[in-house]
Amino acid sequence: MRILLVDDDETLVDILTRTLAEWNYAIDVVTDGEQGWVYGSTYTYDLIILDWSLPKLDGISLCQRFRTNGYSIPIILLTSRHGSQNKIRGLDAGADDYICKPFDIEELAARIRALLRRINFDFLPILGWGDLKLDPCSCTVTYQEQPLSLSTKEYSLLELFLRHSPVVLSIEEIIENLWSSAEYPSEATVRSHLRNLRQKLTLAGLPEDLISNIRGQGYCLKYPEPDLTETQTSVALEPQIDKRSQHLAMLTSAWEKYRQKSEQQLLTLEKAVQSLLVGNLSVSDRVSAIVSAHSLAGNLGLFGFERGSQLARKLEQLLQSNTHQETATWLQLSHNLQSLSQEIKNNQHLYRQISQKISENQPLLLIIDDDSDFVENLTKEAVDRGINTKILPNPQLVRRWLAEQQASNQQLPDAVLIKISFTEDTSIPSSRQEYLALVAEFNLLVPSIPVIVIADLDLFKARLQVARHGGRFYLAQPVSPSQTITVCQKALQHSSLGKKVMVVDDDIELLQALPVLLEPWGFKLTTLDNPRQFWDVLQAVAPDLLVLDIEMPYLSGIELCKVLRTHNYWCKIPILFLSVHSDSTISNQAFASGANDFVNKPVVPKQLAHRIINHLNLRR
Amino acid sequence: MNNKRILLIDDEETIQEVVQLGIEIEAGWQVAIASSGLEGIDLAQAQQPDAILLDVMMPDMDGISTLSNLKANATTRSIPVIFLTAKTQAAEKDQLQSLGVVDVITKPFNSMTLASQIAKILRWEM
Repeated sequence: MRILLVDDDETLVDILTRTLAEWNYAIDVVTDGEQGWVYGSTYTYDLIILDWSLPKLDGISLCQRFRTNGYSIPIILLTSRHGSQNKIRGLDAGADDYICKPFDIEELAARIRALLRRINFDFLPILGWGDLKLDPCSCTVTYQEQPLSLSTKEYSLLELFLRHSPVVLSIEEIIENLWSSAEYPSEATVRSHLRNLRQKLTLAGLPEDLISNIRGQGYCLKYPEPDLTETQTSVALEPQIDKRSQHLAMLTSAWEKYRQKSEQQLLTLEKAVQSLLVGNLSVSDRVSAIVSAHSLAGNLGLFGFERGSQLARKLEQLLQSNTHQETATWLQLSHNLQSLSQEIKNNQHLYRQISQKISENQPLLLIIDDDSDFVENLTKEAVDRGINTKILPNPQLVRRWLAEQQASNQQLPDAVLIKISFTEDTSIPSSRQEYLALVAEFNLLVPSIPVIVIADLDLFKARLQVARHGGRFYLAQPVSPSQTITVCQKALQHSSLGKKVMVVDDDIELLQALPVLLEPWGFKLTTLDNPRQFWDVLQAVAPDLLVLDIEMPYLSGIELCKVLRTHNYWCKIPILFLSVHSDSTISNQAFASGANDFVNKPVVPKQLAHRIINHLNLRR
Repeated sequence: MNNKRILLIDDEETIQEVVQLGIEIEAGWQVAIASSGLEGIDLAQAQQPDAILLDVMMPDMDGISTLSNLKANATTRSIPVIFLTAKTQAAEKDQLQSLGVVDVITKPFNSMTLASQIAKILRWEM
């Protein structure tokens, strides 16, 4: 909810602003009546709080002006003028409520809530959606009587949707309602808050599409529906709002705002260098140039201008050091500055550049297909979702490229997408076998690379062939680029790369050997030989999976497992036990304590790795 | 663990926007912004954030003076502070580190990985 506060008393404004913000209202503050009119007639507010005595235009006149011009927005008049005559004058001027100073801030809050309820024709003090309750008095949200922890903006969003259900609210309308006019949040910010709110509501047990995205229009709160089957279907069709796309949009928008400033800063630097060349750089110009260089050094790199960032840093250091430099050095720097300035002005590929900047460490998808149109669409979709691509048209070139990558220790693909024809009358019958052989080769790599096959026919026989060769997914055409990349994302999620695995075992030799043995699978391995340090290391590492030895001094793996299963957060972590004992009594004890798997020693690295991967995938 | 609150003290609007949105998108943490050291000290006292990202070079009160003030006040002393700096020399970073911050992050940073970098420094889950 958005409130306009018109008051020139700094202390009161300060207290009210802080308090109202704590109650999750977005506040605009102006200090005179004329500004109050400008703001109130320009922006949309849910309520206006007016002081009677204001510079330029008093509160009573301002109130009358709003009413004369047809503004029906609720107005609370604040004043130190007591007495019923003054109250009558205030209310007759069009105010909806009247509060005398000094006032109890809680009373003001209650009056605000009462007025807002009246305006929304919502006479119940608690807003609700089924078992979801929002209490504006205490600013608390509960679902099935369990409290939900929401941030200020998430709370405000939920309140907005509950008050307007089931009206569709556009992003612009949401911003207008929840952010003050001094803030300019991007759409990405709003979507980010929405996403977080939806995640929290879903985690609490509410339907995933409680707040639905109506494509091209905005978001709305759905009516409670007893039949969830249909609503669940619609979730699957809802387009994913991808973090990377949001991030790209955010950086692009930030750059558009910063671009002009960066050009000015570069100009300041160019002028400073020119002045240095003729020996008349003033102290103040030098300081301005240092400030500009510092800002550019920190900022340009954010948007992928690494060279520009380095150049600015070098200039900052030279300008600060104040030591004599050769004329040739300054000439070279001047030349570099001009070319950088030109590069920024003419940058036609900003999106791609920023995309490259943030794509460091993004997964790589190898696409094996000679249909250039399909591949182009796939690549676009993949890039939008944070996946780098490598395109190769046939198995021969794939094998050559793979050999080169392996020889030079370069990145191998994290997943492979390959198109295979299963039509019997194909003109080159051997090619199918060649493609299937390639699928098998990727499967046999250590660690294996998941392969997604796009087939021209939906035949059980073809599915069987792909499965026999180790294909991970089978997609029958027709399939859209978006659907294809969604499946590729699933395959990529199965990667073990970077997953944190913690191994607790008093066998130091095994602990020394495991990092080397499991290295090909890309786990981040943490080993611990002293179970007494278990809790500290666990909290510090926050692993995705635990491997525990059963028999250890001081604390057995089974005891550790039991402790974890009683913990609110750690109770769900996958736990694999290692033991030299293969008898069923020990393994039964392990499973009874909450183990997910039981692996016999001596450890076979490949088997352990695959079991770890399976449990990591099951956890998703 | 997604309800972390970060206070960013930096006078550069671009950095403010990129840090705030980058962290919100990647980690879902709340980021409050202060454009000067003085404002940052006020906000830190009022909001008690879980961590502070502090720019070193700011007009009026620089990051080092701001840090001294934060450490001198009992209500903000224990809030972990991470310096943001465009200084890249190892000696300069060591000097900053010795002032009592948990770490130093060098500008320009990758906004996509900033949140995970902070989480790693502070041993937070993401």
